Order: sequence, then structure tokens, then C-alpha cells
Amino acid sequence: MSTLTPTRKVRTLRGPSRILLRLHRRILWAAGAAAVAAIVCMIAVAILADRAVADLAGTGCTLSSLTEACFQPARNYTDRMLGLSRLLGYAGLALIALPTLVGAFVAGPMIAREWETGSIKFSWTQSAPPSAWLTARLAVLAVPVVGGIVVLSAVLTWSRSRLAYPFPALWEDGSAFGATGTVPVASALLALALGSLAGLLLRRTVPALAVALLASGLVTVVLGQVRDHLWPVVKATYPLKGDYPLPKWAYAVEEGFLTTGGDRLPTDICTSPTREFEDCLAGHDVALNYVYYHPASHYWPLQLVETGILLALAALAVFAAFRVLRRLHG
Amino acid sequence: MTGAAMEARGLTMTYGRRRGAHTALDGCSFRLPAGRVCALVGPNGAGKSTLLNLAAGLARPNAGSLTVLGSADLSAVRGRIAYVPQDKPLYPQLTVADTLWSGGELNPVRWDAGTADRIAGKLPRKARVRTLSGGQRTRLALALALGKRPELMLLDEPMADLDPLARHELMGVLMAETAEHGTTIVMSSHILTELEGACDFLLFVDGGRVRLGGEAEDIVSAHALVTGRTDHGLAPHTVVESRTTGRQLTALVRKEGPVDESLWATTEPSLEELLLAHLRSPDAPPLLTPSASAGTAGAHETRAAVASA
Repeated sequence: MSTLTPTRKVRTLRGPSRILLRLHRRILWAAGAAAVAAIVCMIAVAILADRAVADLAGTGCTLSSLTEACFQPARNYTDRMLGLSRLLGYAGLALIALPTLVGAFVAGPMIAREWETGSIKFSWTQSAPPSAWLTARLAVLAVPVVGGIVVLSAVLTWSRSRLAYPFPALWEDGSAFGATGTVPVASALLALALGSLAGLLLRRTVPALAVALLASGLVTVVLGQVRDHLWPVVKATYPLKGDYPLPKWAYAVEEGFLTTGGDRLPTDICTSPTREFEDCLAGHDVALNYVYYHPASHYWPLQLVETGILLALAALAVFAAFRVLRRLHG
Repeated sequence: MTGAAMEARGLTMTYGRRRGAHTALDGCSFRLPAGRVCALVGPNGAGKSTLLNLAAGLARPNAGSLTVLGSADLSAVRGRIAYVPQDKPLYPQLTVADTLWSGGELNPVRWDAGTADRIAGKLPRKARVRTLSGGQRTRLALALALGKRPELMLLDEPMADLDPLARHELMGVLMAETAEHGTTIVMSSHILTELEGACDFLLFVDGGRVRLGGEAEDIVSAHALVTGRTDHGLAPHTVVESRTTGRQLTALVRKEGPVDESLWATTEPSLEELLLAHLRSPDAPPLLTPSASAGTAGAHETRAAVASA
């Protein structure tokens, strides 16, 4: 391979890539159609949200109006906004799950199935080498998957921006953080790499598919758990009867009480009975409230650290996949 | 002497590990000169498919070396070899037309669409591969193999699925191919009669080694089927197999010099008799003619025998 010039490399990739597209033509068209439908739906949600705001404004009411005539329009508006916000929440979750599905498809039908049908013996004994076979599977799929996810995620971000009080889009939402910014693209690349590794290691459709689902699902879940700690939080304290110091759109990661000795105590240490609340706090030697939070400005640092982790894992998985490939074809 | 299409030295291949291990090839050495049509025969499980798999670059041997078309780096000659495995694997979801197209896409430099199309013949172009019969699949697989314009064709049980007419036709195509382009063809089978007549070179594999290798004619003429009285010794010939009926002895011998025809009624065995005798006598020493011997190692003992035959 090292002696080949770049143009020859491209030419050896052309055949395997075109065949890959032909082999999986139907599912690729179906996936494209589903993506277009999802985009249309998300745009519709944005339009409906705008209309809900306009309709409420048209009645001359606001959510805080005290006139009885305004109660019903306000309720209608709130219901509509809640429904739309939920829809975009589902869209976000679907977008977070999408890379995992792509990985499972690569692992099972695209790679492992070649061993079940035996067609791998055909694929690997042509002029185009096995490395081109694998590169086609990674690269040809990466282009539409990354493209599709960038568009879907951009549309989702835009639609979410149309949501208004009392259900505005929160950047730290579990259904949003992993579906916006750079994380979804990186997680798609990792799922592709893990899928190809699982397919090459197991070489049976169903187990490969299941393991790929589990592996990239696990990465998504674990990253969701540790996400808050990927960038240092801002630490703030405030007096027991003072004002909550969180800026707008900031996200509280942890809060509680601080003793005079500097120990942290959980918020629920003195819940009942309320009458003895202050005595209880005094008993625990509590001096201050504390809150650890991520201001909205931490969105990009958090996104980029997570993206970096995902890309590093993806690079490892691709490296491992090519190692396994070499071992397999002798 | 022309170059070698294949040359194996001490080729060993084991599947599985530790207790479940199965040795498919066990120190297998041979040489196949270019331009021959070689019958790779042997009982089931002898290592024929393993050998073809290794030659096609789909696996790496545990020990030993294999040179194909003069290159020890099998990935470098992938484009010059056509391999048709036993189960004729193709993409089941593609149509015949798309399959032929994929052959051209995967072998852009050497692809001969006309040949591939001609061999595919009357196959319905819009039919999906998964709907084809075994024989139709074989035809399509051979069309792809020939369309590649290979210098070496490795065909594993190529004729098993074909009816006699198709077998005759495709055998003719293969013979024309080797006559016209000097293509080396290796065809495996556990039924020799399937290949006899078409092949001029023989590799008989048994127990993971080549037990007989060389030009089919030379191998046959190196042996004799002798009948005589039991009290005459057969020395110095190597007895492959013998059978006594009363005082009469019938034996298949490997000749070490001329057979004394005053004592023994001598006939030339058929290739099939020869193989069966060797199958029944696993201890008979291997015979590789000089052209079938890898390098010089192992060739000494057999060279004299063949020269005198």
C-alpha cells in the first residue's frame, strides 16, 4: 500500500465503494428518506411553536395575566408548548441513539454477514485489497452519516431555539447536549469504528450487531454520566438567607450546605420538621450554602472535551479494526 | 523449465487451538510449474481447500512458505489469481448483471467484460444471485473468475454442481483458456474421474501432505501393476499395495529399474487404481517428480526412480 500513489489508492477504493452502495442501496435510500422526514417534522415543530406564541399574543394575554378571560388561552399556550418541547426531546433522544444504530448496521449486515454468506472470499480475492474493502465500509458510510447528522443536529438546534417560556431549550438537557454541537458527529464516527471492529471480531451477523449496539450504547451512557465532570465547575457560596447566585442558563451540578469547618453537607440534611430547620442547621454547624455549576459558557468546553474523548476512542477502534483485518486475511 | 505457478515448502496449517486443534496441512511441499492444468485430488478433509485458501491469500500458514506466481507476498498477486471456492460465494442480494458489473469494478485493470458475459451465457441477467441454482451459481462464479484474466485459477470442486453437459462445456472453456493464454489451472476434487483427461498434472494430497505430485503420465509410468507367483520376490521395487490369492500375488509397485517380465505379468495401472492403492496404503512413500519438487530438498530419492521409469 505504501508504494501506491494517492490517485491509485483512490482508484482501488472506487470499486469497493460503488459495490457497497449497490449492495445496501435500499437501506441507504430508506435512511435518507427517514432523515428528510425527521427534518420536515422538526421544522414543523418550530413553526407550530412560533404560531403558539403568536396566538397567545393575538389574544392580548400573557402567561401572568390575572384576567379570567386569559386563563384558557394561557393554558392552551402552555399545553402546546409542552407538547412541542416533548417532541423535540424525543427527536434529541433519537439523534443520540442514531450513531449506535449505524454502528450496529455496519457490524452486522455490512461486515459480519459477508462471512455468513461466504461472500468475503469473493470480496477479498479481487484486485482491490481487503484494506480497500474495509476503508470503503468506513469512509463511504462516514460521509453520508456525518453529513446527515450535521444537518439533523443543526435543524434540531434551530427548532429548539423556537421553544419559549415556560419550556425553553436548556443546553444541558440529557436529550439535547448529546444531540447538538460536535458530540453527535464524533459519536457517529466512534459507532462506525466500533461497529466495524465488532463485525471483524465476531463475524456472525446477530452477535456482531448486538455487541456493537452494546458497546456504543455503553459509551453513550457512561459519557452521559460523567459529562458534568469533564470541565471544572464554577464553585459559589452564598449566605443561608442570601440570593441564589446562579447566572441565567447556568446549570447546577451539585448544591448543599457548607459547615464552618468547610465540610459539604447535602441539601436534604435538615428537611423535617421544618420548624426546627434553623436549629437543625445550627446543630450541623452550617455556615453557608454552596453550589457547583456550569455557566452556559461551559457548553463549548464540555462539548469539545467530550468530542475529543470520542474521537480518540474512534481512532483506537479503527486502528484495532485494521489490525484484526490484517490478522484475518493473512 | 518455465517458472513455478505455486511452490510450497513445509506448509503447515492448524485450525483451532490446543485440544480442539486440527492439522489440515502438515509440512506440505510441492511445486506446480506454470501453464499446467493440475488436478488437486485427495479424500475429504485431506487439506485441498486449505491449500487453495492459502494460495488465494485468505489465510496465513502456521509454518512453511508458499510462493504464488513468483511472489511470496500473496497480497501483491491478488489481481492475477482467480479463486472460486467450493460454495461459490457471491453477493446473494445482487442480480446477475450487477454481479458481472462488480467483477469489473473490483478488477478495473484486467477485466474482460466480453469473456465474462460469454461465460455467463444464458443466465437471466435480472435474476438475483440468491435465486440461482447451484449450477447457475457455478457458471456465474466461473464467469467472474475468467473475466479477471487470471494467470492462475484456483477452482475448488468446480464441477460438483454441474450437469454433464454444462460440465463438458465449461471444461472446454477452461481448456481453451489455458491453451490460449497459458493460464495455470488448479482444480480440486475428491472424484478423480471428474478431472481425468482434462488435467496433465497431478497433486494427490492426503493427511496434509502431497503424496504424489508430477505430470500425470510420469506418475503412472513410474508404477506397474504386476501379477506373479508369491515366491518371487518383488525387490528392489517399492510395493505400494499387494494382495495374494492362493499362490498368486497381485501388487502395485513403484518401479526401481525394469521389472523382470519373465516372472511378472506387467500392466500399467490407471490413475484411479494408483490413487486407490495409495489411499489404502498410507505408509507408501511419497513420490514427487523433479518438476513437482520444491527446490532440491526431498527430490533425491524420487528423481532416480522417475528417470529409470
